[in-house]
Amino acid sequence: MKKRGFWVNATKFCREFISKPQGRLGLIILGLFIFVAVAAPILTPYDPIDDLYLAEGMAKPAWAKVLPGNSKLPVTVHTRLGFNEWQVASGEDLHNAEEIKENAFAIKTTPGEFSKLVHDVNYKTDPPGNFHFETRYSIDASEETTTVLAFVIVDPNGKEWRLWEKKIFGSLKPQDLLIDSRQLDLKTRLGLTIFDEASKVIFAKKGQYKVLLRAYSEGEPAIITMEPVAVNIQGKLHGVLGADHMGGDLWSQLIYGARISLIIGIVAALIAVFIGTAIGIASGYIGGFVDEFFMRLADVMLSIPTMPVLIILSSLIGKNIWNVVILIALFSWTSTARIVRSQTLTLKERAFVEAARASGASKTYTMLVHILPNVIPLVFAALVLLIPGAILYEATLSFLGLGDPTTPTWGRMLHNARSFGAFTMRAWWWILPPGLAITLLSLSFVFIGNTLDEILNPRNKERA
Amino acid sequence: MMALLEVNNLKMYYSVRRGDVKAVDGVSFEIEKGESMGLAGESGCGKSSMATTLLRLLPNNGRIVDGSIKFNGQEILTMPEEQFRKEYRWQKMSIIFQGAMNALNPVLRIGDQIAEAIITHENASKAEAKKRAGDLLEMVGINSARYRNYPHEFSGGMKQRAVIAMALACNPDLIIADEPTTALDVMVQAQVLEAIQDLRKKMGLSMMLISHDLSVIAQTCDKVAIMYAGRIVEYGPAKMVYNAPMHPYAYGLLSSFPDIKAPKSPVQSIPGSPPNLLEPPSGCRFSPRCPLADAKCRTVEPELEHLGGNGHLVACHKAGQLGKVGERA
Amino acid sequence: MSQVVFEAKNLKKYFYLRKTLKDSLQGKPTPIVHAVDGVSFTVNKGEIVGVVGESGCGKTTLGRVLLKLIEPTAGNIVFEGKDITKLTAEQMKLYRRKLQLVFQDPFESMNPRMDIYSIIAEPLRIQGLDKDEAEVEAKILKTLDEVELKPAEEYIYRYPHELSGGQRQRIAIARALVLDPEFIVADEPVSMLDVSIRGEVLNLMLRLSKERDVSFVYITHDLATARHICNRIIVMYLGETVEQCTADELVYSPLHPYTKALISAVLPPKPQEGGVKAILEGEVPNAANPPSGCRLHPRCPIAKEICSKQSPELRDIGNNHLVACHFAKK
Repeated sequence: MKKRGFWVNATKFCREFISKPQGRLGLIILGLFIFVAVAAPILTPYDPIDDLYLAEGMAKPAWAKVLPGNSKLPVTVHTRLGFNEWQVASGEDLHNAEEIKENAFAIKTTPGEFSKLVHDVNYKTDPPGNFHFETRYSIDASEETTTVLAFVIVDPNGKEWRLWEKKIFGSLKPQDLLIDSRQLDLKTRLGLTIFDEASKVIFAKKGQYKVLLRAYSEGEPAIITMEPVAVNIQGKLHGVLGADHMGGDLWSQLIYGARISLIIGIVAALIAVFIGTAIGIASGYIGGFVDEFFMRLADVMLSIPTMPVLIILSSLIGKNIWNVVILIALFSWTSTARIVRSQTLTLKERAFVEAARASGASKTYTMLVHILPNVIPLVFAALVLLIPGAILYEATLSFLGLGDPTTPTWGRMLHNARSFGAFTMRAWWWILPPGLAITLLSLSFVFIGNTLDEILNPRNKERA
Repeated sequence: MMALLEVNNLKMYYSVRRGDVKAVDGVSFEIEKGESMGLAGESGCGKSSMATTLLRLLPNNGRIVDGSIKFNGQEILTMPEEQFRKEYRWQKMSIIFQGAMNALNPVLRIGDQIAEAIITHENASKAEAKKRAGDLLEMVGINSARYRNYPHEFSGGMKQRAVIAMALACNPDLIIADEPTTALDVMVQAQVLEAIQDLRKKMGLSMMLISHDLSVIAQTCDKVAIMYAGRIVEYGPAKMVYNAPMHPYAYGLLSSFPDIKAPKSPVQSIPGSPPNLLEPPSGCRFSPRCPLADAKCRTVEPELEHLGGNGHLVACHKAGQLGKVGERA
Repeated sequence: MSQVVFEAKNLKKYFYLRKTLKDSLQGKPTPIVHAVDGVSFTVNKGEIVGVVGESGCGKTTLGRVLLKLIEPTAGNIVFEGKDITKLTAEQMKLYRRKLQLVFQDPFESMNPRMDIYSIIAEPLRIQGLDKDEAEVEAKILKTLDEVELKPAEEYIYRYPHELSGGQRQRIAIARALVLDPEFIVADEPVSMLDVSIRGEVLNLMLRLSKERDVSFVYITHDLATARHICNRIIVMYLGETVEQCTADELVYSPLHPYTKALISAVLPPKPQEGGVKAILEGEVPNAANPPSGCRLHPRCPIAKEICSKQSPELRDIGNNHLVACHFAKK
């Protein structure tokens, strides 16, 4: 009962908002970005900053394969080979033994015989940039047993490339196994020079390849347990939007960028609006020296060219995302302060403010109880309109390389694109998406802000 | 003889989200040539909507549902807008809007604004229009030397006179004045009313004066119609309506105006407030506030009937019973 | 027996305007608006004193100065025998319980975001009298009852925009009454209301003055209503008192030419012979540059040479009838 009026107003407001095409469009776009920001971990498996070398540097998007001239480009393979992917060619398969981790696999060797796990690969494209295998293994065997483990690739001609080999005496606690085509010992084992690229040599042919895990034990049988093998073959075609210069996934950078942009925009605008509202109400209501001081300060802030000052300050203060947010906020409060001040000036003359004074209300009371709730709608519109500005400032700073290098922002994507030759390579899938995302997100806030302003600003009401 | 303006069963509704606001709901009256009629009523009774309807200046959500408006025998409701605009609006009927004096353009000279009104509506030359604008100013009691003044150099009363001059620009047959003196102080109001009186005497103007202030109508009109909730409840010669009102609302409204010369007494009022025109009460619309109302009043809507003789019409089932109570000193 | 509750002594309020560049260069003095220029009167317990004048006569400013919502330039305000002119805002706070204000515009005078309960409770909260919420509610219901909004429970959770003008103005009066004041300044409380409901609000004031001994200053442009509810009336012109006496005496034997003109300009609510006749020409001059001598003299039909030179004193011509005109005689 008590809140009736509020809900009536709220539903009326929502209906009015939805009835305006601009507001509706803004809401839809913003909703999309919020969904993307929230669902980022679902939409992409990669970390935008830490997952590097997923593909060859500057890899094109996977779908670029259909474009002329790209059909033979190697596709990035990024997978895990669990026990289902391996065939036990010889040796006893223990994969459903209880003590074995899920999806891991184990074989029991027969002394004096080779045990083999085989995975077949049909490779039909150009050689990839690098490859990288990673797993953990352990051996359970008696003291007297000697085991030889090997990781081998057999090419279509039947040539064996022993990528890794190790002789183990007795048991072995779980160990990391790491094979990378750039390793020097790998190259020497294969009889290559250090300038050869192992992947180019091994995958030079097209056809059926075999990946082989081979074990040979002497003495008693050994149980070899292996976790799924992470396979990463860095191709020239990768993911939705390709890869950056470090083989990082651009799609995940774009997705996570929505998070950061939203947070930066909203937090910076919130701080700015908070400062602006406080100053606006104080200036408008108290007047006199306070008003004079803050308004002159606002004039000064307005006449300073914001961008150059932001550039200088952010390079002095340090590349931390929160520094950037606070700097942006400090330069954005003036417009809110002015709007709030002028509204306060009219509210101050309204009879209900005088009525409160006639009852002995203090200035603080009047400002908090009578002025603030009546400027909130305006402030709300101002807040929404400040967000795109903050997003753009941040993007600009990041683009210039003054942003936080550890935060995946759209500006940083563009910065990298510019610094590492995406422009000369015409890698438009790297440049356009962040640019468009910045534009669309800013636009959605502008649409929403305009609609709010239209509905909430008393100036517009009078005109209607 | 044909009346100058004849309004018959006029209905004008505004459509809003929740239905129709029946602002004018079956109103009939006529104004003879040279006559002035007062349309009185409280805010929201539909009297200002009457003015916009007569000049066909309805807002987008307003529509005429029924009725006819005849000007000199010519039906003007069905006339094409182009013809009405060219031949009637401002030429034959002009209007002084409520608050029109604040609608003067602050950056144009007063005289030029009047001259412009003449040029827009007639094929007058610029010099001719200027001369006539000067004459019009003199006519409403402003020295034509002030032709070149700007609105801010005029006082409130003078601005209002200038607005009247503008309404007179095309020698209209009928002037509709919507609350012409409401924003003015009593002393200035007296001056402006005096000017209107003089004009009527000199030019034989017909006028419809819309006001909430029965005292203003009493001093300027020959005939008065009292509106309540979109309908006329009492209509007749001013002297008869003022001296012996027959409708309880008219009586109550008249008593709410204290007479300054009367002995000190509490100020009268009518309990309750006017109905919502979205869903007006059934029967007589005044019945919820009426001390005399009975079952019939709440169910049967009274018609405007000849009850007082000599053109004194009342819409009330109880009109006879007010009798002597209604007689005023 | 009548006891003086409130006294204004020679109150003045001047507003200093900004000089234009041209005026500064010509060395002209800062223009001063003499909004209230030496007004004195007393209000007895339970009395309604009318302040009547046209717009621009300073009556609204006077109302604010009486309650120290605007600091007077000069003069004294005495309430219940204590001079409150020099009190600080903090010291004033206690007196604010006893001195209240009712505004002209019932649509402007309430915060649209508050419900009726909060609006009426606000003065109690400001004054720190809201310790016991049950008590607050009882007080609010009692006050609503007093302003004849019944049943009170039905109103307390509504919002101002859901009420009619008359109801809102009663809420405004309830807000002023909730602190049990001794003295209320009512600034044009009915000018925005429909004619048929004015009487209710005015009679409410009349009843409160009689039954609760509340004193009112009724500021209005409408001499007709003032005549019927006021005990005494002060007529103001350009910041000065021109005449002050009982309501009856003012209406039946006005002495000042301005009062006479004002009375004649009040139109009777019935047709009269001869129609409207305006006695005074012109309009109220700019208060920043008032005429010399008697401020009415440029418009006065009986003005003589002395009027433009010498400002007439406000003198008592007997029976507490004060008038400021050189030619006023009993």
